[in-house]
Amino acid sequence: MSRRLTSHLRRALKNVRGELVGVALSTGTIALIFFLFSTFLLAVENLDGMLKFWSKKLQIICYLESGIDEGKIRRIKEELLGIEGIEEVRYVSSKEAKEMLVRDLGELMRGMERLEEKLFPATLELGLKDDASYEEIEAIAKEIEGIEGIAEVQHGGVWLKKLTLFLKVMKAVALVFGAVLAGITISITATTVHLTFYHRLEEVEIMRLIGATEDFIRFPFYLEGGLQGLSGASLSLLALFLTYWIFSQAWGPQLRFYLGGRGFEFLSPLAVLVVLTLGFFSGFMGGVISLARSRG
Amino acid sequence: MYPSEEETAEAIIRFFSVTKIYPGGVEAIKGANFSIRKGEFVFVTGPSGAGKTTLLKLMILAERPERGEILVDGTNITRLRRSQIYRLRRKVGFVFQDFKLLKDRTVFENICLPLEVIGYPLTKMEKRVRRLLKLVSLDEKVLNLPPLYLSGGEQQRVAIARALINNPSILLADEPTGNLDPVLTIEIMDLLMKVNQVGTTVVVATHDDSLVNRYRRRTIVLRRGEIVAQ
Repeated sequence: MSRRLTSHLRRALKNVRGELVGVALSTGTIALIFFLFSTFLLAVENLDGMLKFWSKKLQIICYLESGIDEGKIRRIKEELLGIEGIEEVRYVSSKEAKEMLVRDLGELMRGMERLEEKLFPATLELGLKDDASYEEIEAIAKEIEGIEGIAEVQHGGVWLKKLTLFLKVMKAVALVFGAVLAGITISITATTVHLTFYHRLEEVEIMRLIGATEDFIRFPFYLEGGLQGLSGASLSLLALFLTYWIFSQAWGPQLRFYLGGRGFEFLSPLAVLVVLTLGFFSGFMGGVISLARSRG
Repeated sequence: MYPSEEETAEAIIRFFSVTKIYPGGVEAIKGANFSIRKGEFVFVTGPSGAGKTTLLKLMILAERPERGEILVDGTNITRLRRSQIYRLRRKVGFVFQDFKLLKDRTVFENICLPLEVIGYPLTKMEKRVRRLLKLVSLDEKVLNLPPLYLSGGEQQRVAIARALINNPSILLADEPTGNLDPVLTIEIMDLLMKVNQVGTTVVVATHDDSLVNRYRRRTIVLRRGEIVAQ
């Protein structure tokens, strides 16, 4: 099996060498298209990572009714900890709330130190499990609103919902983009393989006359298409990595800031595998489609 | 006239009323009936355009007949599906006037081609090739050269070695000496006789009457697609 594959591969490489200009042009075009796709994937993956990173930091803040006593606060905490998805409950008194605001806003709070503490409501800050979705956050918030002693509940689920929806659209676009890309690659490789096949028609005829099966004759041409697709996809990833590296070197800290503390990352191994596999199989299919109508 | 029962019993190739019509209505072969026995050496002769090449092509289904039936080694090849033709061709060696060697491969690779397509082990190939080189009188030094470095006679020897590498029971040669000078022609014909002597059925298409007269073997004579003598 491996010997036969080596023989097919050798013939495929021979085909490529015999049609170097055509193959280089088609590989270059595939690389360019895959570069756009990989860049899009990079954006989607980073957005996805950013969402996961931020959702880990999401909190629910419960504003307590004024004048609530310590015993009541303890009971509310116990009740909250009994709700699935809530992992931590931290009490922030009116005094602490005022101190935090003064500390965080610094100069802006100058002269406001004399404000009464009762203007700053006591809160309970809830730490949620890491992978909480916006639906879960909304459900928890709704459940909490009914607890006696809690005046108001605030959470960041709304923007998380919007971003998640946006990410879903991006992923759908990526799928469509991938399908279109596969179609273009099939069309490009089909043309090149067709050319190679007709340039090697004499060899094909000889092969047929000495008893080679059609599959034996054609497989190297399919493989040639696959190799073109794979080379194009690999080149695109290389170009993307260089672009990413230069970009990270120049604007890494700024990007970290805009992404809320999460670094700008290169494609995951899975995404790299997807790009390479898509390149190989769409090229291979180009070969298959190209020769489908020239059975000997 | 159909082949007799006695002929049929030993026949390795049989044609029954075979007609081949090319597009445009040209009848290249008209109702051919004949048989070739196992181990026989047969000339197919006639002027250019008589249908010699078509007759040989029909034997390996490089052309399909419009009418009639062809039996090769007990198989009715006219009923073979396209996907089954390779089995027939593995039993029949074919030698062409223009050698049809692959220019971008070495002599060794050219000879081994029929073995490569059946996935024969490389280590065993070398042994077979060296044995064949002796039969076709070629020096081992040529093995790593591309065929274009060889003379016409040597190239035809390589082509014959390729045709014989998987021990076919039939060897078909279409004008094998057409591109060679008289001395090389005799050498190649002697080689084909040698191949025949080891038991291979050999069919040679030629328009060269001097060869037919020199070797005096059974001859099928074609005129405008019709067998006029055999």
